[in-house]
Amino acid sequence: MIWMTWRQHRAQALYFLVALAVLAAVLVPLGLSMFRALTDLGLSNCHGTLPVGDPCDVARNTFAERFALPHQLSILLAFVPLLVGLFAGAPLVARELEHGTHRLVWMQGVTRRRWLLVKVGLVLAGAAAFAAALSALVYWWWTPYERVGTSRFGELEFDLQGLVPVGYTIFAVALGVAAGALVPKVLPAMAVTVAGFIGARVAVMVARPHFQPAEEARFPLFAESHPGRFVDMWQLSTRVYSADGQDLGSGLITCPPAAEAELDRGCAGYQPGDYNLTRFHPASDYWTFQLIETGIFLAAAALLIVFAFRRLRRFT
Amino acid sequence: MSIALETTGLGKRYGRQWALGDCTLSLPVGRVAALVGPNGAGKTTLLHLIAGLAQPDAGHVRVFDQALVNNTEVLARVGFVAQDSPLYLDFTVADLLTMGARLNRRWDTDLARARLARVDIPLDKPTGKLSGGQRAQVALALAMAKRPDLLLLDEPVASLDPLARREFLQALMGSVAEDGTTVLLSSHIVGDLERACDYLIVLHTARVQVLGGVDELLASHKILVGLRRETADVAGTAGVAAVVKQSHAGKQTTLLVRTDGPIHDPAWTVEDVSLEDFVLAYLANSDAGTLPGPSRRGAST
Repeated sequence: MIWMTWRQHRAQALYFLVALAVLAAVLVPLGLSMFRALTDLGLSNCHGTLPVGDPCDVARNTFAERFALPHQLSILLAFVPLLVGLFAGAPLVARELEHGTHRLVWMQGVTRRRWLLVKVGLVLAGAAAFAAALSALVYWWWTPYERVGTSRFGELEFDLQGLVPVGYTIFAVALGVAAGALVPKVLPAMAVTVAGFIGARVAVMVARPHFQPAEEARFPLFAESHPGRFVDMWQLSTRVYSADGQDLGSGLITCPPAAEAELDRGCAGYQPGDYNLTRFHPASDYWTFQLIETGIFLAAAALLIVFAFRRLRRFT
Repeated sequence: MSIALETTGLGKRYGRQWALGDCTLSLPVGRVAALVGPNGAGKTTLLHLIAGLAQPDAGHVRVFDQALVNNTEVLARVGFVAQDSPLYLDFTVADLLTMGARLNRRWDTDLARARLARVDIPLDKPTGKLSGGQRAQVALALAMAKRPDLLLLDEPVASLDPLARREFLQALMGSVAEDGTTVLLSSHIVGDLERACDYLIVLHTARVQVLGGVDELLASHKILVGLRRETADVAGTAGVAAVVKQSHAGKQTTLLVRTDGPIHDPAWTVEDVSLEDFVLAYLANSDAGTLPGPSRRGAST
């Protein structure tokens, strides 16, 4: 069965290797130039959250602007697990059933159970290796962004690196396999895979802020100095409250000390004692969140594979 | 006589429609059986149930006196070629032989190569580039290379031209005769089967209608030709057990009858019946049936 699986999927394996090579050919030079820019802009010695106007903060903004485009394009990487699920997962069972070749292979000397076990096992292993390699590459490439304060923990950045891409990819492949066992045609199985994958990702994304209780930071509107942009952490919301706890709207408002505030129109209408409240997950929770999210998708993948086995055992 | 294949009350339902109902039959070892019937009669369903590709909703199948489900021991003894001979179209013929060698404990590559060489099929060609007939030959070679004790073929000759069809069946019969393989092949082309098969199963609207050895069945049926008359009169004729089919043309009546003794009535000219006429007569009259032993419908019309 191992030979059989390799023979059936070797072309696919080659395509994915080529895709990985192309992505590496883009990300490695880009990453190297970003590391150089860090040094050139003198950012090597800038750490932590800094006050607004600090030279380090200015240099960080320069860097963030210069490399804004690849940052924006990186969102496309969120679709890679889905593509793996579509092309490696969905046809795995669906194509056999659509072309009737299951009637050839199931009549050889191996049981359906073993047939599916080896095929799914090897394809999942290959897909996971691909995802892990890409994820590691993206993690390395992201390091300069992280140094200038674009957290890996952000809503979208979280999805592209660390453990979760491996979880998403395994889930997508398992979903494709199960979809093929459910609808024995390649294109409908692909459609089910797309719908299921996006649905699951959105649902978990909505639930993600609640994996752990959020922490809160308060700081007054009127002060001599204000904390600058938060880095590393995952900022959920920043709102303004009055001293007695009334919600005055979203946003971060910083005003000079009360005595001088009359000159600043943005500060009109606020009282001393009003405060900003930021809800966030600290950077130290990053790997906890990665583990929880990966665990959710791996558990879902396991259920889907069990479903596919049960379904094919009865398939007639 | 040992039994290669036995089904008891076998049934399969798709939705509310029974594709096969209450099918009880047994096939002795070494027989080459033809499974005939019109399209939609349940031939493919029956073959899939026997091969273990489908699970019955009623009754059960035993192959070499064993149950099939996830039974690699039986799987190794059964060769199967599905309708339209599905193959992996991106595999070369040689790849498929490797596949067979890897997935089967008992596998005769030389046999497959020899068969393919005889019909001029190149091993290095992807099967997607072969003609339908060549693909059927490859699928058969793969099934034969398992050296099966029971070979199941679903419409193996449907994609072949008449000449290739005859050669195919001859080659098949030649090789199964050497090994004593039991064969069950379905077809809706009856004419070709007369020389190839020695056992007959007729399926009609999901039921087994006729079952038995070809020689015995043909010997016990005759065609009677005589002056036009009503069938009711014939039932009394000595030797006639049942009228399967009657046709009237002008002043002449032609009957296909099942006999239970010699017919000496001078009013009738008695002729032998061909397998094709025999099958067509039964298919045209779904109320008629002839089964060994006591049967559900009885053995008479």
